[in-house]
Amino acid sequence: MNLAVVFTFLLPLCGALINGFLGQWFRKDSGTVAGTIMFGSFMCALIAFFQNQASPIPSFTLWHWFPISDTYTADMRILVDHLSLTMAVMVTGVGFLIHVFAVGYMDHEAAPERFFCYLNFFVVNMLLLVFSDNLVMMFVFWEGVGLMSYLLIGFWYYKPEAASAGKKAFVMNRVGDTGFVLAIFWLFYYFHTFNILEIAGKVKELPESVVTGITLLLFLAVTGKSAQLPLFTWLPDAMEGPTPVSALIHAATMVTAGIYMVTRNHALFNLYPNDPAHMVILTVGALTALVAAAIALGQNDIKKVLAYSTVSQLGFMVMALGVGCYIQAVFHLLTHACFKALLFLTAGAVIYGMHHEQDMTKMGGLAKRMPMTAACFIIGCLALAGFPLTAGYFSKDAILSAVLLKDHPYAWAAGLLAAVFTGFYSTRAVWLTFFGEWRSSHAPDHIHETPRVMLMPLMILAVLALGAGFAGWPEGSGMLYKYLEVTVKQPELKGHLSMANWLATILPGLIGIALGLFFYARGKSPAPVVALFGPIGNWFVQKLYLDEIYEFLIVEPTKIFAQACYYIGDKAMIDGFLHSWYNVCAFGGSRMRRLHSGHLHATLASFLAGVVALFAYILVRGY
Amino acid sequence: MDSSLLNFPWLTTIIFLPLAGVFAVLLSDYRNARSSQVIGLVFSSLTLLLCLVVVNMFPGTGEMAFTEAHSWIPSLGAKYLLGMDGISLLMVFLTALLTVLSLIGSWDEFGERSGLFVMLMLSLETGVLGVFLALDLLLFYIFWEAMLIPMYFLIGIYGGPKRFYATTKFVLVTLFGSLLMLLAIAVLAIWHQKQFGAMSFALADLLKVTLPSDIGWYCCLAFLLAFAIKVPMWPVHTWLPDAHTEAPTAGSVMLAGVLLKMGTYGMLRFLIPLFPEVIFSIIPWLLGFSVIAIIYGSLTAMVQQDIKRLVACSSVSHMGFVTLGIFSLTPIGLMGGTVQMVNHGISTGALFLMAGMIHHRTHTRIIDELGGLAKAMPVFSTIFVFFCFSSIGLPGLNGFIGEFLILLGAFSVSKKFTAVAALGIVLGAVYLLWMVQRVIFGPLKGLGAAHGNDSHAAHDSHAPKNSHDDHSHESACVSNEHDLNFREFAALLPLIIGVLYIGIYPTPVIDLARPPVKKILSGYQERLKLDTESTKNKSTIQAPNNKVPQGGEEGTK
Repeated sequence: MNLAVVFTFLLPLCGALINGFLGQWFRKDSGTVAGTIMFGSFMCALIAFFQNQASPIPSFTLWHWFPISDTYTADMRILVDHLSLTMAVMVTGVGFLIHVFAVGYMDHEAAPERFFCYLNFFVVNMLLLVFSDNLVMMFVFWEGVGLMSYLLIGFWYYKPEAASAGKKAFVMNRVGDTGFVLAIFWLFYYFHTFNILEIAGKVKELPESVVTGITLLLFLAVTGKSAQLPLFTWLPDAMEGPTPVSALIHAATMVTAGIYMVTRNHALFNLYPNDPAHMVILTVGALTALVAAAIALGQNDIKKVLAYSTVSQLGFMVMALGVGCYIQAVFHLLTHACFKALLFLTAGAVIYGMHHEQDMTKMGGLAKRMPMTAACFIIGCLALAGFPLTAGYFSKDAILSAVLLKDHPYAWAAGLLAAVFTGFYSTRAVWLTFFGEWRSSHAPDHIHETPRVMLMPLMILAVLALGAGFAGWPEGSGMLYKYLEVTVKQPELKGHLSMANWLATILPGLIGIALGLFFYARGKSPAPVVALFGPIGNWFVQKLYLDEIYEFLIVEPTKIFAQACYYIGDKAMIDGFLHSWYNVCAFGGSRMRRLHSGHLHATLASFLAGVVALFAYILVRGY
Repeated sequence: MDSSLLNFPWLTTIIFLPLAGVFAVLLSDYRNARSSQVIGLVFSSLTLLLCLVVVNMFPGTGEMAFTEAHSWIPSLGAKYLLGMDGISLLMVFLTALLTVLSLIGSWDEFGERSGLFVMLMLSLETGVLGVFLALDLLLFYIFWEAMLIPMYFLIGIYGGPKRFYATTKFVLVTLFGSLLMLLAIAVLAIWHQKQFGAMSFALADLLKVTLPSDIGWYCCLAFLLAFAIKVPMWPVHTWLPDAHTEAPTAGSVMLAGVLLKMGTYGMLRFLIPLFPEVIFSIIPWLLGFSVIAIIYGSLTAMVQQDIKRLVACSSVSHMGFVTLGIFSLTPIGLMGGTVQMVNHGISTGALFLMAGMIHHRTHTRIIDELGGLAKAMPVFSTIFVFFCFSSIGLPGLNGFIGEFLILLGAFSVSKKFTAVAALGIVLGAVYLLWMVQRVIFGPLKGLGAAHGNDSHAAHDSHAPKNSHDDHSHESACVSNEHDLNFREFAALLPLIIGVLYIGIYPTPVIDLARPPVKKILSGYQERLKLDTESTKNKSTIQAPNNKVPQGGEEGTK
């Protein structure tokens, strides 16, 4: 048992318990407690990281969880390797910065201890998900992060939209999770183990159809957790939660759990790289990247823009998974965690400064009043748009060139178009928020620069958003690739991109930025440009009507069917049947009762009739 | 172990201690509510204590422990046979625990009428405990029916507005099934006489009886119907929502927590061992009905307006999981089914208790009339959400262990059924979280019945969107006078511990269930082999699928 690893997740657990049970007595300081504890956890993760460099840390069992059969027990077991440690450092590091930010952000809250309790407990779940040695344990914390997401989205539970969004997130994730459990059952059916490495060792024994089935089931879980088509609609709604939650859970960590899960099970996905499952994954990823970016063009809520942008970036990662380039996916996951956390937090700072106004059309010119915040947001947007030499540039470029090298030109083209859109909506968000005229009806006098406790994490993240990309440079042989290759075995990419293709992968972001500037920097209207495209544009502004379509195709029919089950099935048919028997008996009884009239002659008459009938029977039938 | 300790009639004491409590109440003064309640609590707690003692002495093998055998009706060959294995131990413990908790939970509910209530609860406990411990079928049958009488009065006297309809329906439907079972028991005893020369109702004796296939069919169906009604399986479940909804809180807790398990317990203890070949031939049907129950129960729960009725409908779904596990006839599925029986008792029992608490405060259980309880009752709401998630099957809480094992076991038998049943997991989240959203979250309403104008002010102040200001303003004006009091918390705490314990460290519970499960399955498979060999030529019983009953381990290649 490695103490550094144990304390990495034990400290936040203690923090959650302290804040949960005792927090009400030191409300004002609950954020400080949680943040300090997260710093400790981050340090432990770093220590574990370097210890592992010196000598590999072996896996260890926390406790035997439950016996499946005489020979096999599902354990709570920690797997320490390069992949899980990389993720752990990212989760605790970004988590720590977001905790610090939240101390400032939640300072008006009446019960911040509840918030920090949840936030710490989320980190515990996320860390244990990352450290899971077997699929059941991973599923436990997979659902665990979903629970914390549910509770944190609904943190302001008295807002009906928040309560509704939390439920939607949990239920849609559950749809995906059925895929996860069924995949687990299927693997257990063949291998009689849940252990990921053992399964990876034996996986060659499986026939192709089974592997395709299992990988598709696992991917169903990914579409839920990592917000891919067709299950992504919960993520934009999840923006009802406090902004630090959006940064931590719905941008940097939880939503990337799907990417991590596939990477963790890469042996299974590597087995048949040309099977239909990979086509599905690639297509879903490319479509999600494109569609979500297109929807983001039409949003006016700053957090909604970032939410759809997250969906789109997750689509890029899934594309990488679809061509079997797991390290590229994890690379983008890491850089995305930095710059998207940065973007959400700066958006949070803006929202905080604007006293909870999120509509970009009511902002404008904020750069003058909060210059540092503006600088951070611009850096984040540059990284997001893939401006050369920022973090997002390296990782997105790595994915797009891998897709092209694997000879999937259509997916590549979709990615390029999505990148143009990305540049465009990023520029739009920057311009509407920080430049141009002040558009709200309120006077902007009260708006001031973000407090220092919130600004510090922003600056650190800004540095990362600028520099983190060099970890994966040069492509295919950078530090990160070398480090992760020990754990993640992926087929090598063959060949190199021609100059023209290379240009084609860096230009779209720049084109998008240029277009964005062209449309918005001249200070005309803040309205979405897509609206100019008439009904098609409107279709994107209205989020493809996906919510309405699901409502019409799934929710309403289910409700009607449920009504039918209860009112027709239960009430009319089954109860009707029971009641009819009751009525038959009651009716029969009421008729029979007339025989017992109590009149002597009636009784005698029926007695006589009985005797006659008996004799008649005997006479006819004989003895 | 000291042999005098083992020879002490533990089981008889456990069964009849609550009945002694009834007499104690009668001997004191049953019109004095408080003294009757105290006596009832003392006797039920003593029973629970005895259960704990027995748990500590329990050997943990698959064999029956603490057996007692006395002659009872010699002319019929009926004997007073008691015994306990891991499954009965779990059920007995659950019964004793829930009785104590529901007595605590309804401490203030009936005022002057508490004396009779306590007596009914105690006699109900005796009946149920007898069911779980009897090894003679006639004795079993008597306990099985005896427990109906107190339940009839519990619903009929202390229930809601439609109590008479509900209790009549409950008793008539249940009686219908169990009378057929009585007939089947008699047939078994008579065939025992034919084959071995003497009547016997002992389970061990009746296991040796071989019935002609047609009689076996009818007897099996009679048993199956009796148990299926009790569980209840689809489509004989409609007594349940009515009975649960109209029953008083304690009655619902006992109904859902314990009485339903009598059905699944009967399947494990009697149905499968006695009629393996018939069961084997109808497995696909049984699995199908279980899966239908899972989906159908969830769907009906979705459209309910009454919290109690919603939880009642969800019971149909959860018990569907239990029967799915049982009829998968794999060790994993059976283990899961047994664990899920305990889980369902804990979670659903707790949810009924809490529904009662909501009713006590707001005088309504209609979901649309409630809302935002988290604001006024934070501790209550936290615990309520906790139990909802336990019922949903969140990993780390108890429900997950049961459902996971059940589905894992069922998967090796039928992938399709398991896939459909897994949808039930989604639906479970839908109806419970939807209920939570409407009752616990959102703007506060529903407490108005208790505090006239107060709630109006609270309701209006929720309108502004700005969450921060809203929150501080709110918490200032809502006191926590409605939150859980100490007594209610005491009633829930053991269940909270149970949920966490089974969720995080279920090994002891599973280890209790494993040996008897194995014994049931090995008995089943042996009988099946014997029967398929002997009836191969006659081929009276056609197995619908030619698969050999599969153990979970056979999945390993």
